Amino acid sequence: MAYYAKSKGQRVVDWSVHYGLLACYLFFALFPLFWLFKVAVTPTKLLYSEGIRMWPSEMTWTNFTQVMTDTDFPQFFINSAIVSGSTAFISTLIAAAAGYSFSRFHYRGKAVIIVLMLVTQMFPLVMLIAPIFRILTPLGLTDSLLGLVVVYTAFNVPFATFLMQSFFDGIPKDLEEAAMIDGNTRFGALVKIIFPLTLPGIAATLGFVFTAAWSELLFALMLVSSPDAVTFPVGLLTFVSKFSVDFGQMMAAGFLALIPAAIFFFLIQRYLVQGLTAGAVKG
Amino acid sequence: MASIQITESTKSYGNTAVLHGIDLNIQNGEFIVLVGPSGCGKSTLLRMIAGLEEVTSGSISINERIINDLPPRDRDIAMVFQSYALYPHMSVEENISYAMTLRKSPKEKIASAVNGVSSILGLNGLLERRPKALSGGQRQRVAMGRAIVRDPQAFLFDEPLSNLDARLREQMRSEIRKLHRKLNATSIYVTHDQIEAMTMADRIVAMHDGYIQQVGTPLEIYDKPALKSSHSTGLISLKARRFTCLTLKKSCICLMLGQKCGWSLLYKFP
Repeated sequence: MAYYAKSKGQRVVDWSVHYGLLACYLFFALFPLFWLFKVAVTPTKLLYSEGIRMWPSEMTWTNFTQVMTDTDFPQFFINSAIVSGSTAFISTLIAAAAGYSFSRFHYRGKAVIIVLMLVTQMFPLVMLIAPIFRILTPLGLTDSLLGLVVVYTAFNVPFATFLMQSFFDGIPKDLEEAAMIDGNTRFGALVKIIFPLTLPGIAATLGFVFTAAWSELLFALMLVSSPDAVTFPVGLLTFVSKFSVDFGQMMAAGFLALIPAAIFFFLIQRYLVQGLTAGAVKG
Repeated sequence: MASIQITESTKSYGNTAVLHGIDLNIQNGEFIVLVGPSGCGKSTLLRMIAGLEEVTSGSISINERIINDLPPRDRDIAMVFQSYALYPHMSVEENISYAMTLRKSPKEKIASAVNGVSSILGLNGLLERRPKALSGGQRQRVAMGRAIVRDPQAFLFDEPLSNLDARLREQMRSEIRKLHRKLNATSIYVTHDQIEAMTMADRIVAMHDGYIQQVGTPLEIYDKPALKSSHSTGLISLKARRFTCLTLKKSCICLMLGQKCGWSLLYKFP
């Protein structure tokens, strides 16, 4: 049924259902963030005494200042930023190269490589921790940020590759052939024509790998023990002691940890918007 | 301008042969149309000339220089793709001038070439636009502009009009012919449309199943189609269609006459 044929009442109903569902989803997605912030600004003495309220009767920033000054959190942040940033950069670089080759070339063993990459995604990570620990120890890569980058890169590259491949598949082959006839080498065509068109894909892959590495707990917990190399998800656990949990500081730290991810997505969001290839070919 | 010789050229993918011993001599300034059903290898042949597909055996030469191993950028040919393949992140002007920019031509030369081409093709008001802001016909013109601005040795067209509507196609057909007459550049044009082949070609190359069935002027092929090539080009069906048209017309007239004279009882419809 054509949209314009609907009566006004029908349209109001449609509109309400549409936005009602969106509102439900937004509430579901954003409420935990709100609660995180609310607990972070609640003074510790009121946390248990006030009962459940949407906003505390008194607000404080002490949890934030304490986290920044009295704990190792700044160090954890820096560690996390280094690990996630490097992982995102290296994984995306490898994934882009691999994805391009899968998308454009035919060669012997391609199918085998793709299947092997799929197989790596089939095992639960828990199964792999012991062997990975055994491999990394003699190499001196446990308890170091480099070790984490290596492991995260290894685990993120397969999925990132498939993601990049699908973006390359979406760019018509004709474009680089035209560029090659116009006077480019294949690599030149890749850099000057294909790369600018793949920016949304690269942004999406960067974002995906960055967040995966930013919030990874299991490997960080198992492979790292010295405070110099602890990332923030592991650092959050330091607020859990044997007898109590310091919720206020934990939430403040969690809220601070969201900021870099938010900034990162803010920077790449304009590339996430698809549609750059519109008009390249017929249609 | 160039002459192109294709000698005993074959193409196979693994064990599948798609072109078998192609021999073709294209004269300087000639407009050649490769015609045949889809899958007959005409586009593959064109792509081999462009350097986008490797030649399995045999040779292709331009001006008597074998170019089998030359990358596309060094062959000095221009190609118009069926999908136009315009660079979406560049303006029309950048699209047209891209090849010249890559060859580091002086800016004034590029500007005057772009101006010349855009006035020939009527793109003057559109130079700042991106391809997505153009209609199908305009995109097609930009693709043509990108090809002619370089003044290449030869033009290759891979079904360039098949995404246009009938009227625009007709118009572009005559414009391409006009351009060819003006530039007098060797052109190879791939199509499966027999009317395009008949109206545009100096010589038609009829292909089928990876073989050249017949080479000749449109009239030669129309009047004396080799049996196999008639299958491939469908030219005999063109003739047949005209015949059926005539008989149909006749029977229609008979029918009308018959009805007028009250003979309708003579017709028994099942």
